[in-house]
Amino acid sequence: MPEDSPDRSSELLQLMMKYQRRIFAYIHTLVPSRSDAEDILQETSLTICEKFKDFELGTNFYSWACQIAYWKVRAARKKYATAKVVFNQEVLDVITQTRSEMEEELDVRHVALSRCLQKLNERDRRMVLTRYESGKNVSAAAQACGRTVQGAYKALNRIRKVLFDCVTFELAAEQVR
Amino acid sequence: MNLTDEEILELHELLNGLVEKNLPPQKLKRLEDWIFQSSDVRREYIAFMEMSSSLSHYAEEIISDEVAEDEEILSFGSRIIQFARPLLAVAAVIIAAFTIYNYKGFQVEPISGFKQPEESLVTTVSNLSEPNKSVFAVLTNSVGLEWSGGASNSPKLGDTLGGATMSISDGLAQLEFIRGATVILEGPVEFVIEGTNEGSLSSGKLRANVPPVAKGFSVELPHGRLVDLGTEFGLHVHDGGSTEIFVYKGKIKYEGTSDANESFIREVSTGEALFVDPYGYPNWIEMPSEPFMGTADLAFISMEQSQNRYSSWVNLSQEIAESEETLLYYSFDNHAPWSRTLNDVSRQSNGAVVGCKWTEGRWAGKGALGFKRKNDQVRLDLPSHHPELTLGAWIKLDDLNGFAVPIICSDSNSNGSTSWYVNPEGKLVLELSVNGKPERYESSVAFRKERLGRWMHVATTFDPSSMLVSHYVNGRSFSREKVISVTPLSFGPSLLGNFPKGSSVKNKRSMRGKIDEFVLFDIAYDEVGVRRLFEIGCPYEVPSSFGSTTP
Repeated sequence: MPEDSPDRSSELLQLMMKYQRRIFAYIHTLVPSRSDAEDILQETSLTICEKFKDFELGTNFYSWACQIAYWKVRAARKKYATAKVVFNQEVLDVITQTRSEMEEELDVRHVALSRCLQKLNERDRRMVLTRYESGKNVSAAAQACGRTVQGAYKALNRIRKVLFDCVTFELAAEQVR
Repeated sequence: MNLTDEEILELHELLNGLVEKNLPPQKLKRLEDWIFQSSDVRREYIAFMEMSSSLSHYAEEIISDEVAEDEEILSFGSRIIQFARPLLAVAAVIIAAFTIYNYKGFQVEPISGFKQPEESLVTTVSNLSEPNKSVFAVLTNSVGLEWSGGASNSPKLGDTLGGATMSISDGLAQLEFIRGATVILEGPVEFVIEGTNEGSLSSGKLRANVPPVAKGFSVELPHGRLVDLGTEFGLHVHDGGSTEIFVYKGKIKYEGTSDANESFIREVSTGEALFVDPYGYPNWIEMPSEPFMGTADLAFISMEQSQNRYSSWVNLSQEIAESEETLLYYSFDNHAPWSRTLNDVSRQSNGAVVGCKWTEGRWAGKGALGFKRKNDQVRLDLPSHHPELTLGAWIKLDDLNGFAVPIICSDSNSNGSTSWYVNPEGKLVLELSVNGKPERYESSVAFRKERLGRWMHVATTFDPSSMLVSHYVNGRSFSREKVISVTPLSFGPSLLGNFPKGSSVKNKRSMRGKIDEFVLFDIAYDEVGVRRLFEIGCPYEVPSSFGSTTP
């Protein structure tokens, strides 16, 4: 396909729609603050658009996009010191390496989490999903569920552990199947 | 997996702190080192962060499902693609950028795959960036919000707002504009939302945080207009029409016209402040000025910082409750709204709540007791005697109006019985009954008009070894007096927030205000100790220059 074909543009859209969650998850692993990770995702997306003409269709788009994201994170670390990226470069590098070994597992974990969410009681599910809505925080989750903020902190810690264990269990069960 | 159960628990505690942004630096370092050294920890961390981003994804997916009809749906070929909300902006960026590169780089016609070929992609993008023309902002957070009596508009948390007037008499409101700017209004304030990236301030204070994406955010002011150039700034429009502009980060442009029709343009950068007088003339001023310190709440508070501060205070609170030095500790937290018992979380000297009502304390969700009527009080009994003592409290006084305001007052006449109050002049007073006569240790004036209506930390220590009584306001010592008689202090039956009937204090009445923490220690803390109580408990960011401006 010629580089400047209009189909190439739609190809980019399709690839981004398919992989943007995973690219965000990759960035979020390196940048624990969600809003900062979202900022870096935006910058990454712009560069992907700019450089897409260099991307060889048929090769691994996700890996290519993650490389761009990695350099964006590095740049953010230099630009903002530790404001956006809390870990030092050596740690970022070992995280990236380990994450690349876990990609398949992480996909399974993502799907398993939706099943685990269904297993939560209604109140816990509402609390954790409210907390993770864009722009919401623990206070908003507390308000939505009629709890004190302190109570909500404790509850969220408990719910996250329950979900994490549930996903790990599902993963083990998946491997047995 | 080679981690022990204890290590897994510790790791998850660190990870919870990390995602909630309340991990102290030393714990963050511990986590960083641990991730680097242990591949098991690394894997656990990656799985945890993956869960975090998946939770964000599912949370938005559910919202998208709930509001599917209102959301932007892009048809792409034969497929319907629905963006999850947090990625909507990213998607818009991708499409916009890709359109630009389409024209710049690829030199091709607009994409033909869309279902509505008559509508250009650029139009679609512009629709995306303006999801709903009648929605300009969302009320995303509030603390102690009270709307003015005549307010035509009193939205609730989460409400979307069009061209609305925000007439707030008290409290804080956080608005998030559709284009990305966040504005915190501090009552009393009059602010009009004029568009997705603009507003007008006719009186009161606001703080704005404008990310690069919302550059150009503007605020109409009495004599001009402020245009943001990518920044964080504070504004204060006084009753007479004068305006103070403080830039904390970045740069703004002020364009104004004086009453004599002279035009002015000023660029104000990080750390600079501009005062526009009532006639519209701009003057550079030093920053921060003392009168503006009153807006420190607004200037530095952010809801997230507030949450972090609350978490730090919870830890301190636990430390106080468990300390051997604590005689009595009312944290005022975790009480049911109907509770008539004030729990002493240290030594079980619970108080009986009479009249006063539970209300919101220094942080959203934290309790406090409101004192309003003449019989409102908490009755308690503390029979022991103490050679030295530290008294500390977080209080918010509505007014003095020429009356003394009680904090804690003994209802006993025995030797050493102690009362602690603010006198009608605003001085903090420790009063001991010695041989039937009051011995008073008065501070200089602590409660001026500008200190009313806001949370203040007060403390007094009685130290027989240095023979000093020291008064502290907001963590700083500002008054010391020589001990007159070395008498062990006692309370016995006492009242919180009220004077006993037989009190010798003149012009007395019950407290008009709130208490949300009260503590007694059986040692006399030094300034460092008191300062720590203030700094960790302070709901606002503690400015480094605070000490020099405290009385």
